[in-house]
Amino acid sequence: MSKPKLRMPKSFRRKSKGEIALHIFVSFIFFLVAASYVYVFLWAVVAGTKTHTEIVINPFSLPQEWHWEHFLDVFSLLEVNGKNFWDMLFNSIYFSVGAVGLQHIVTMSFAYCCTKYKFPGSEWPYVIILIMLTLPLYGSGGASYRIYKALGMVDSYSHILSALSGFSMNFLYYRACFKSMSWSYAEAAMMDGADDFVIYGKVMMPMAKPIFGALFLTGWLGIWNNYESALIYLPNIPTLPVGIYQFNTEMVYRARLDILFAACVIISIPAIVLFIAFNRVITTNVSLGGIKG
Amino acid sequence: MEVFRKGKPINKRRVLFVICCCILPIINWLIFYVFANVSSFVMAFTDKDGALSFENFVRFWEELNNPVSDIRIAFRNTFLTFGIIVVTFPLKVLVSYFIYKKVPLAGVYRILFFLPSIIFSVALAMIFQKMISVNGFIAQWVQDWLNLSQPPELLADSRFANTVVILHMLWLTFPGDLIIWGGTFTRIPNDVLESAQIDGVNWWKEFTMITVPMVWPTVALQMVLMFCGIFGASGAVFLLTKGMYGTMTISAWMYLQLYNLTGSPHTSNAYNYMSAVGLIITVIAIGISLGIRKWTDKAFEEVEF
Repeated sequence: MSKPKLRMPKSFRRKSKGEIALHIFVSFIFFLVAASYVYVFLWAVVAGTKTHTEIVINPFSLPQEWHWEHFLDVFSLLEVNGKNFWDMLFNSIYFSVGAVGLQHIVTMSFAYCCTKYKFPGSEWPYVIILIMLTLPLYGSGGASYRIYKALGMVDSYSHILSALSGFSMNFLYYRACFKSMSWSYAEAAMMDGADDFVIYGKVMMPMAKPIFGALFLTGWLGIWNNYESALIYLPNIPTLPVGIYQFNTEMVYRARLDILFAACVIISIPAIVLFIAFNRVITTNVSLGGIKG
Repeated sequence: MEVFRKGKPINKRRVLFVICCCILPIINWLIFYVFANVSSFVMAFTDKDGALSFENFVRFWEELNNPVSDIRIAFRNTFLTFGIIVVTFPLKVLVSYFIYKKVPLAGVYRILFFLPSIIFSVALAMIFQKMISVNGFIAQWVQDWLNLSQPPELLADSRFANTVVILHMLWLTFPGDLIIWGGTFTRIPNDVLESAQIDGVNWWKEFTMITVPMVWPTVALQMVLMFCGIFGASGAVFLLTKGMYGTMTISAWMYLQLYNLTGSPHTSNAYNYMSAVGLIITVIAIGISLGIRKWTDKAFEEVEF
């Protein structure tokens, strides 16, 4: 009977022993860090099945009785300012998908126009964004709040209009994408009688789908998790992170840490699932700064 | 594609297309960036009665000279946090590099290292608070280690709070910017690295003499952005301590000014004072930014976005 051949992992082929040892050591460090992240999530899962008293008195023990029903109770008991879980879920989807979608459509169109068309000032946005990024201005939060208030965009669904901004880092990503796209596709479409709207909508925009998808997902994750601006501008239209935060601050009256942690787990799941599904799209389509040579 | 060509009639549909693409972002920028910052500039020189004055700047100077004022603590902690961010910057690039070089389980780490960005920061902070509570093993471990009479409230004790906030930040930001670096490293031509391997180049030489120089435009840009964001350096101060127990940072202080007055019709002079502080740190940040840009000038010119 012949011995089964032991095959080296692909990543170890053509590596010296020292490098293999280094990779194993690095992987071990990474494992510890990654395990700590997983542990935190699992801790929240276990905490969600315990009673409030158990969480307070012994946060690291396993529950005496596993109360999985707490994960269902979240849908009825997570309530702040008269808004229940479903209201908060709607607000989160409205502001994350809506705002990020609007922002990316506006930014992509703006970047496309400024990159592929030459007109007086077409280079200005690029220069302005570089200046904005490298010379940041601080302290305008109070002035901004007053502007939003004056425009009726505080505690209002119209706050989504603030996302119609094209002067951001995303402009640079889209600019890089359109710069590398050949104009010959547009010329061919023009020969067939397509105008600028059709060329953009049916030829160039579809070619920018991968970068749009990657940036949309990362942008969505950011807004889905955002509590800072939502807490200031939308305190009475709570999104899920704001709801969780407010639920926690009202904890002295409720004593339901179990519901709080069960909710933390439930609302993290959509983002985790989406990220696992699309992580390759995100990590291979975004780059910045170029390569020399 | 030229929109306006000499001697040729204007293509109205093309002009309409350009207007449609540009009008919304420009209006938005004019209102929420230009007007907001101009208003903020005026507010910096306005006192609580609405008159022009330097009152806010005088107050800032007085608070800066007071060792226990929030502003003084905020400046100290911001510089401390920023120093730590600068020191750990190369380590974060190395994390992405080793994942790019496919250390064992790299594919798993690529996903798990995103968990801190995926899980709500609000939820993470609350879980973290509970885990280091007096009833947890971490507080008891600190008690044993320092021989304390009882387990410390790590986030409610000025001896530990700032260290804990910084450790929390280091723990969660360990993977660095995997998206940017991952995307950038994958654009390095494989044949360059393969020929280096054939020549017997070890990993450190490959990293320092091939990989980093090849992605230098990205390194330079990230460094410039990092230094420009110096006053944004902060851990999860608002969520963990609300700036109490000596943990205040500039960005947390600014946020708390807004948060504490949300919905209040009387903002007193808080917004004006905030604008004045913002103006001062903007001037400092611009100085730092210009200095850094000069330093990385050559590399910066080669950046292709």
